[in-house]
Amino acid sequence: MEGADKLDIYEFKNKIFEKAEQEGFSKYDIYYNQFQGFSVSVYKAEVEKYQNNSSLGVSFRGEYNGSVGYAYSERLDIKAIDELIENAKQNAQIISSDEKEIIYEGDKSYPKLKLFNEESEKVSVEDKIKMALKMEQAVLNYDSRIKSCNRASVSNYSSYTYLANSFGLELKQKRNQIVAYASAMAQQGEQTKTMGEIKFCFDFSDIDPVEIGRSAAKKAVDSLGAASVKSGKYKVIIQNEAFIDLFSAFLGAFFAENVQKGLSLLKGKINKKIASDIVNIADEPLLENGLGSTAFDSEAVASFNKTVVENGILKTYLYNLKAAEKDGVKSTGNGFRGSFKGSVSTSVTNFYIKGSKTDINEIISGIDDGILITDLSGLHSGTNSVSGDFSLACSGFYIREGKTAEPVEQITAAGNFFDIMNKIKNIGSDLKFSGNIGSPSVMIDEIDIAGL
Amino acid sequence: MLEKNTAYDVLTAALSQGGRFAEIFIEENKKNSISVVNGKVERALSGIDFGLGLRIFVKDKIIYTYTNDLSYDNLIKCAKEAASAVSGNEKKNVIEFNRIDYRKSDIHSPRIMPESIEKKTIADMLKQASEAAFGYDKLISQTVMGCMDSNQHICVINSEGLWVNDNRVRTRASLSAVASRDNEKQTGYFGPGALKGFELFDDIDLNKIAEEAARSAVTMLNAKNCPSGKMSVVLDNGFGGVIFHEACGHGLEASAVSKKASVFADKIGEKIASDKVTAIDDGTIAHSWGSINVDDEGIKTRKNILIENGILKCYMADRFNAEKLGILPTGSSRRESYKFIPVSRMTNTYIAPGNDKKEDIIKNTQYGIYAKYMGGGSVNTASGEFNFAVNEAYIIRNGKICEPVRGATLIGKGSEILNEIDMVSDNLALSEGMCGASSGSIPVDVGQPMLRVREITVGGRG
Repeated sequence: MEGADKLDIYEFKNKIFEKAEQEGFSKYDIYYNQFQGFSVSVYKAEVEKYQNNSSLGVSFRGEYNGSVGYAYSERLDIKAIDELIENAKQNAQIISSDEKEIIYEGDKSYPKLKLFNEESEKVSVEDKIKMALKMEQAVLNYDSRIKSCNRASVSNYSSYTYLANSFGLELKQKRNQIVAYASAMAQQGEQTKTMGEIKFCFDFSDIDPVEIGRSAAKKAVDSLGAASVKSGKYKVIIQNEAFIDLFSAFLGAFFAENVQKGLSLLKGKINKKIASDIVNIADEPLLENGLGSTAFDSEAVASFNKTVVENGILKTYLYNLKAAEKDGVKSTGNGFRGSFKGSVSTSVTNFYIKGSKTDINEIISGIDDGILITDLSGLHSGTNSVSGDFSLACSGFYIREGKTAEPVEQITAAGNFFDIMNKIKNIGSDLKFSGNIGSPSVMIDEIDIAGL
Repeated sequence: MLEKNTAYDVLTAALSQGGRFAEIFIEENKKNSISVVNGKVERALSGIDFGLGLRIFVKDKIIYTYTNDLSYDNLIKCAKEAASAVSGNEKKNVIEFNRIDYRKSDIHSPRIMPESIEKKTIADMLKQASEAAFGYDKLISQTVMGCMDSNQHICVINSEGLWVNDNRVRTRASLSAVASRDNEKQTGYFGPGALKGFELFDDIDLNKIAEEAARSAVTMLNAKNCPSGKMSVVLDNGFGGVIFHEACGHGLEASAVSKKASVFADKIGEKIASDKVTAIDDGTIAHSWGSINVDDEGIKTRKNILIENGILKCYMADRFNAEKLGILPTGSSRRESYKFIPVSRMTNTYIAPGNDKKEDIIKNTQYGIYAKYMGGGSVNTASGEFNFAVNEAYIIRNGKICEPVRGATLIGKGSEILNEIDMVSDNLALSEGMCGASSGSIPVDVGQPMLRVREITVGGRG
């Protein structure tokens, strides 16, 4: 097991394709991913954790007797080839779904995107450590109520994706990204608050460590003294980062495969109103500097930008090949695998609600009595992705006479996602991305708040 | 999984720049899953996870590196690179290995290896469960029935001479049923699992559980919105234990405590909960989903009494954070895979049975919520603020369980809620779940007997 028979991916591809042909697969492909990651975090002015990782894995997918079977391995040796072929064959044989998974020959051309920043790879470890130290220092210097910076980390990742199929198609994509994160802990009396700030980007020069540190610290300090509020219906502004979290929990509703399975309330809503007139949503894989940008999806479909919601009207669902075939339309290039370990389902690229021209402060100034929600938690459990219902712990600030006032905690906000999309009364200009999902802050007329 | 000389050379290289401890973790994890949607097999996946993680302690720093390439040259290169990241001043030698193979004394050893079962048999079993759910009520519009198994072989080798091998075979089903009417949809879900092979399905009745998921979905479809505000809440046994897991368990993990990012830091020996509360984390329960023979740094698991009659007794500690706190590791160090630095985590965590009777708890509650089935939750350990969802709830009125309500979320602060537990019954049960934290997603059990929280904030739309 010491990797004596280890193969490089191109040799591996040739050998497994040969074997697949012999074993009677009619069409097949491989999806390979290679990952390189570096991360350093500091604590109390010293390096606390240092990580340098690499991994790779390959998935084989093949059509056998009319059904498609999968298998993956993180071991690329001769032995793995036999295991992959055997497992894929066994898996294909039990598939009984009516809709057949499609192995696609590929498109004629693919967009050219710049997803790999050479400069980022040249930044030294020392400079990354300095950056993390500066973030920690900025957190600690912000206010005397800051007790610690629980984590200040700088990470950068790069990955290489290789897709090849029995039609002779070969696609390659290299990408990298940087993540800087700071977490601040503030204390006042018995109350402790921790808040974080995260920045995703492609270029180290886009990272301002002092700003990230100060922002995390400000969030923590500002929320000190928070108290609950009386239960009732409130006018709320859900701040961009919090709305991204909520929006993310309901993305599945836009996927055609869920619509077809009866798992989306957007069924039958194409060209119908599903949100306020001011709501526009796009899925843009070609977005410059987008973390979800890609030239092709995991099914080898060439990427293109799509308007999903225009002035509140639903224009399209997001399709993979199988769902597109069922609806008699073209794939929107949203057939993705979470990784080589998973099968193809649907996912978004850069999916976002477009911002307006209205400054967020102007929206706040129009509210006499309401709540600014800055943080939502429990999203993996407090949401029903099918019905749209949610009941989530949240925190933020009271809005009184057009100004943000005292901080609020220990409350829940409850409602229905599809309902609130129609109740969005105002949208800010503060579009922000968290990873590949984006949203500006939104104002909603009425939401149930539980507190005291 | 590694030649002795390779291990020795890698660990030696890892300590070459003055580190005080080095550890190799290797795993090969064979996984299978089948997913049946509306009675048809839609997905069948198989895979092999394979890799090595190398961890080095230099002073109070952790260096970590992982790779899938286990060739001698690559491992030595990784070890040297990692060692050069931070230099220390210790001169440690790698101690002669003492091999312990837990596969020979495994109290959890599986009777029926998953790989010995034909995939078709599994698919048929899931199709039957789907039929059972559809048969329960015509309001059931969709079912997703899944089965997964994993066979993880681990090997932990460290510079202090530890060389441990173990195998963990896990099997789990996931059964969900959706009930629909017009635009309303509600889901019922159960995920029974164990640290065992396919004998799991001799012990449980999948069709009955599928019907129960259907019943829960239909009940919630017919329920009105849960009222909100502060009230008494009765949490039923089993997965109700998620309240302790979130409200308190995470705060007792040494990784949070050592940074004082926990409301329970520096509180050993102090009263942090009501007298009624005794809480335990026990990784040794035979075949329990959250159990392990040894933790992911090779330390034997044990039964840790965390809280006894309200007094905080111990934290759950991994090696690194135990050293920081000046305590001993508790067999609690876990990781999802070789891609994660192990930290202190829970195994099977539960509140011990009390003396109250189930009937009396309901009878003594004038008004409140009876939470029959719980969903997941989360916590911020520093502030102690937690939240979790209730999947199936009822109103309690004048000591009686009345109409069902849906969409309830419970929120609070761990340090406060533990003192609000005023009745604990005797019907302890455990239930399986996945817990996500910095070292990834791992199998855990939560558990408790039925108990009452005197007052907690309930979030709902009613």
